[in-house]
Amino acid sequence: MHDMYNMYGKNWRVSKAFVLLILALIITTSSVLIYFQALNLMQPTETYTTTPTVTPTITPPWSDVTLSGAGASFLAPQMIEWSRILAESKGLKVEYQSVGSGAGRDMFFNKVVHFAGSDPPLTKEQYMRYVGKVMQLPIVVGSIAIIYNVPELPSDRSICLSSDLIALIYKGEVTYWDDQRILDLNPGLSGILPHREIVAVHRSDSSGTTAVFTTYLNKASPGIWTSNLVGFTIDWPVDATGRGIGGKGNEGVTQAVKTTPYSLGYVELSYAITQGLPTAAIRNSEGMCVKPTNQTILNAVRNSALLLPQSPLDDWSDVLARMLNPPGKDSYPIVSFSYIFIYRAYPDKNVVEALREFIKWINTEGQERMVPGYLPIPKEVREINLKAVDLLEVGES
Amino acid sequence: MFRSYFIRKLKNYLMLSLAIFVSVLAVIPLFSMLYMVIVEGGKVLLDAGLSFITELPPTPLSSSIGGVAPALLGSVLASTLAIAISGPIAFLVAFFVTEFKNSSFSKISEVVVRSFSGIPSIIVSMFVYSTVVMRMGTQSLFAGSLSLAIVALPYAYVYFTSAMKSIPESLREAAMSLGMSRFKALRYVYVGVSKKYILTGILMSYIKAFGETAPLLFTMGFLMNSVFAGFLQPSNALPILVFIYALSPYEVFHKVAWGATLLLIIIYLVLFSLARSLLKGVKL
Repeated sequence: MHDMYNMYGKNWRVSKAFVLLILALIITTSSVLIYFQALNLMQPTETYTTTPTVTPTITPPWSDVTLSGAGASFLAPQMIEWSRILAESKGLKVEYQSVGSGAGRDMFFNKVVHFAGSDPPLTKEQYMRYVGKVMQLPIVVGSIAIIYNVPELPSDRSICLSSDLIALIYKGEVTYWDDQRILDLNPGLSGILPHREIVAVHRSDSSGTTAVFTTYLNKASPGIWTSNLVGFTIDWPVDATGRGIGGKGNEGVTQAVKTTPYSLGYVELSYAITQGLPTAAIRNSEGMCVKPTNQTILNAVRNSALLLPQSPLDDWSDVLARMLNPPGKDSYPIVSFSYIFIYRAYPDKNVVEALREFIKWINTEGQERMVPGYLPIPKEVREINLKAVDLLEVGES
Repeated sequence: MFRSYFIRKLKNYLMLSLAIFVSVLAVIPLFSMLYMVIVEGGKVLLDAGLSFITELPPTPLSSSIGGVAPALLGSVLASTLAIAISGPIAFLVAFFVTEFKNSSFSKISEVVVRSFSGIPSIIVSMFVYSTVVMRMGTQSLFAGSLSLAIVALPYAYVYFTSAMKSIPESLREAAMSLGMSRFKALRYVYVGVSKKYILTGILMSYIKAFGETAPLLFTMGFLMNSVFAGFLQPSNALPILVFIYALSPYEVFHKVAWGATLLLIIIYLVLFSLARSLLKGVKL
């Protein structure tokens, strides 16, 4: 009897301890929540007072909408930059996840996110399936740089490569850095380029960068790089020779080239710039060796004299191939657009308003807020994109 | 006779030094990793100070490091919610399986729950994505928590089973002989006896949920322009932030990734040592 009494007493203490623990948990969680909520509330009010364009009395229709986007990792830094500016200046919330072009499209078509980011446009086949429903807007100009690691090469000298040479290197047919075909293009480098095997680094994951790069090789050197070697992931012929290395993401390729002497790889230009790696000049369609700079990339976009589709609702599938290897003596040959996909109609009126504001802003002011390595789209393209603002409507998507 | 004694001694020393060498070899990567994270992340944390846990993450052109507030809050909330979901389920299953060892239902649930731990966590992510996220039409903190709950379930279960098994048979029999029902015995005897094991289990599965990346990839979304958007809205988590920021080309992003990694390790070590100290105190 005594024991049992004691036991209940002890257990009473135990359960009291449990109750206290749970209470403590609830209190800490809620206080943390309240604290962060307060932080959250503070931020817009701060900026509202500093921005004269937004009057504090009228709340914009997008104030309780968060636009979500997903897709190409290439677009992520620019999107992050834009979304922060939009949040601070207009209170428009946009969140972009970098999951890759393929996964982003999947989320978009499953209506899990409001918009998708993609390096290549929809293929003709995909376009036909969504014709009239999905709009494609090219919003930044990107470019792929060939980076290399040849310790013997002084930093003030750069190497020039042609599409034929790049294709042959990735096919494993040009083996050494002092190959006669490389020296023919770089007469000044004979005696400097070593007799070493070239290690070709490529992406191991499915990637829009690979799609653009292989499309370029196929367009500029169709005799060497056949169309079965074009796509998001391909079987690299150089791997069979044992001189090919795969890297995950632009970061992986950059690291592999950095740490492997006598290697070469292809990455988005921003990685070459921020990591300080030398970039190769590439021989363009008029036989000039051109390095990737803002000017040469812009020249390429202008000179491609594109017969661009005139509406975001049109088929953009062949724009990628048309833009690569454009005419012009000062054009860098590997340039492409990156796109966002939106639906023409969304059921929620506030989402439509938010998207209108978003599209309007990124095609006007946003184009002046570019992150290094990204270039603004030409004026003509902005005008085409702005048509999407009027095309957007409330309805079933 | 002395020779064989000498050889035995020698063998002993040889094997001993081999064992020490191998265990040092095993520990080296761990410590070099810790060292790297503490040096690189320490610089960032000291530089940013307290603002590292209250501010929004930086953008590529930001001059300051900013902070990881959305990711930290998202991680804390999602793992708490995940344990709130999986904890009770794991506890009840563990209770049932240890109490009714011979029932076929408990044998089946034992196998099912344990096999959960073998599922690659990215598949859990795809599963929650296709069932919850697609139906809700958005990624959310809630979907992320569900995903984490599935991943944490087998861990919690294993800890809770060992908690239940730690109860001496004599106490079990004593409770029964007093005429207690099984649930009364659970409530008044088992929980009290094994409460430290149970708390350890909760903590360890919380740690597990806190450090997971893959279950959140398609379910949690991403949030970096506000600290908290709502339970049914996209959120962020420390491992996701590290994953995305580490893969970017920007120096400021790499710094945040290092700082966030150190923060993760600090949280992990604190919770882990708490769990260890709890276990040490268990005496019967």
